[in-house]
Amino acid sequence: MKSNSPIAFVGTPNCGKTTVFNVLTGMRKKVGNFPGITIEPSLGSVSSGKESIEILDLPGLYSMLATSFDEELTIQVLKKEHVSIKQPHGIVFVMDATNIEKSLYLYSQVAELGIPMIIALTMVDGVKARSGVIDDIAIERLTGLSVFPIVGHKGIGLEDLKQGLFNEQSWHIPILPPSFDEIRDRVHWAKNTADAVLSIKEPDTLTGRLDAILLHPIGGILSFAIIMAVFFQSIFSWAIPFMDMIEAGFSALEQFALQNLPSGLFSDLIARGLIAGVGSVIVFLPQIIILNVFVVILEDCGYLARAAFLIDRFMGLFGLQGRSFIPLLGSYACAIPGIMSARIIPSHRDRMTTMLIAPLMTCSARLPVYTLIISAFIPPMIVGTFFSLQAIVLAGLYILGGLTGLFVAFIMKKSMFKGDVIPFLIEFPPYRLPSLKSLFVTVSDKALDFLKSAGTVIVALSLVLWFLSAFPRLEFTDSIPDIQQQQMQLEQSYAGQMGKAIAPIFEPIGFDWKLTIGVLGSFAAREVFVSVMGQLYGADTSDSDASLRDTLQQTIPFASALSVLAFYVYALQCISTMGILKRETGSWKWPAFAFVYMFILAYGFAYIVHAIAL
Amino acid sequence: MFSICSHGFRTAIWKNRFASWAIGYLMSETLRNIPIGTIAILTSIEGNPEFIRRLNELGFLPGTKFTLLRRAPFGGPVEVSYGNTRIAFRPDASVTIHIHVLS
Repeated sequence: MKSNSPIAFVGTPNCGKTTVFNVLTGMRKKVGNFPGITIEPSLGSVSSGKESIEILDLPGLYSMLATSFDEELTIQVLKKEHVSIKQPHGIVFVMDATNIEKSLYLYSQVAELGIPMIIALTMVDGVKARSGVIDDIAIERLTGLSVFPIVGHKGIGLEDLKQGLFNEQSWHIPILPPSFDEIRDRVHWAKNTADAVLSIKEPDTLTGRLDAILLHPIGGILSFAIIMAVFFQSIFSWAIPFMDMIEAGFSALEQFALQNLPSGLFSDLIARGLIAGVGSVIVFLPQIIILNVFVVILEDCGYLARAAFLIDRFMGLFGLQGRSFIPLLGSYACAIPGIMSARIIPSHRDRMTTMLIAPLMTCSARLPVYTLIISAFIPPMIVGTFFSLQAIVLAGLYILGGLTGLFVAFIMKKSMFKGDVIPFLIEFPPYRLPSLKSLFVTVSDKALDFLKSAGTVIVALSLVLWFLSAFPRLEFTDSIPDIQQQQMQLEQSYAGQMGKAIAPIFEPIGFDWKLTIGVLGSFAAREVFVSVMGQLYGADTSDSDASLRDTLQQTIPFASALSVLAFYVYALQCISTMGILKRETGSWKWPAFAFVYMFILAYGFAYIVHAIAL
Repeated sequence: MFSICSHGFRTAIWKNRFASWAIGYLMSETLRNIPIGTIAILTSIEGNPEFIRRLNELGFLPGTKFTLLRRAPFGGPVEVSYGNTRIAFRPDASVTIHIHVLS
């Protein structure tokens, strides 16, 4: 099998295709360079001795007539209609033994392409567990192909499959199944063939029992709430110690560089530009890894389909479907892993809408800004008997972000992403144990992908921001204290000049030039607002926020403070989010769009709040 | 006199139509108003052609005997099982599913 086009893995959704692919290729992933597409199939390689083959994991599909963007991609590649991905010269057809009917239906269409194929028969342990028998010899006779039985999560049969990939003898053009004019006839053929090759004696009792609890009208909602609470807790707070360690590590490194390099521009570039920039990328890793571990486990074990079923009605109120819930919940911790996890949404329109509203969810980077302003300007009084006004305001800001996001989704689905999306339809896979190796491969793959694709953009943009705030250089005499030096440097820098230049734009919402610079600075990350404020007001933010809080309280009018809160609820103040949006949507058009619509929301809302509070 | 009569006649037609619609709505068996655990035969699906095609491809065809397994809370999607398959879908306003109840 020598050719420069890859071999493709094709199969129905949930057939265990990705597990087989991951275990076979391991960490030998390649970054596919396929311009102009948003959902990239993973590309990997297997090698045996000196030979190596490139393999492509195409999105799962039920038939060669697409109903989603994912399926469309697979079909285009298989039919040689895709602009940048070559038609594969061989297909590994992954057939799910426990769901052989759907697999055979798809197979009968894929076989018509006349491309050499091999069949990987997965989930054979699932058939045995239900006292069933799958006749792989009969499948070989029927299709004229080599069949390799596999237990993907245990790795059984994979070595044979791998040898098969390299052996010319195991590749054959499939025997053409009868041609069908109607779906009904094809379904009947698949069903009759399935009955001939598979006999399962017992129902899947484990799945039945688990669903009796997990989909129970009360128990289902309760367990959904618990699972989502743990999920949210894990990305929100379990990640914090790791993030703190990373931040502490990088700021120590920054200090080390500042002290040990000859002082001047170069050390400043290395420390405040490069090290801080790289640190601002690495700091997202704990959340990305934890969120992806959760999403992959939930998806592989079969719960994600159930969660989508339970929450679909609620999401339907806003024109979305059940699967949008996970990315949006994740975005409450951080929009970056949230937007990445939107890949679980099969419908292109829903996925775009979800990604574009994800930054409206109140991410954890807004919290330092909220805390600073609220503690400085909202009196710590008790409302009723129990609730503190500060807590109510904070909760209000959180809820406001989420509700607005859903409302925006509703409008987007009625206008720009309007169209005949088919109603929610999902097949429930049986519950299964996820493969640890595959989990490890997928998660590390996503983490590396983030570092490579989004990370480089984020570091580059951080360097630009550093340049804007470090130039032009001012000369100081030693008599001026450090804090004051920083204050003057920032004020005179390009960033400071820009802040002053565009301050008139922000004047109607009550921002002076200092607040405007704070807003500009927080593009690196929202929480940078706090340190920029510290620098501008010459207050020390390192040990406690108290001094900065008092200074702000005395210098910023109350209405402006509320206006800042209102602005941060909506504004897309985050270069990293824009970087990941570019990565996931394939163009700068969408982050630009998100930035503009969120800016309009933020500005409008801040204007109203400012006008009322005055 | 004539006009009143005609008016009354028209009203009668509309009343009649409404009554037949209401009876039809209440009596026709759809996935919305049958109890959980009902076994039924799918007679026809109308509406969104892509949705119908996908249901058919998944083996949910007219003539299929299925069980209504459950409904998601608050009028959410329904789950049905037939043969070895379990699917859930949203009984969207754009789709009408006609069934014949067996038991």
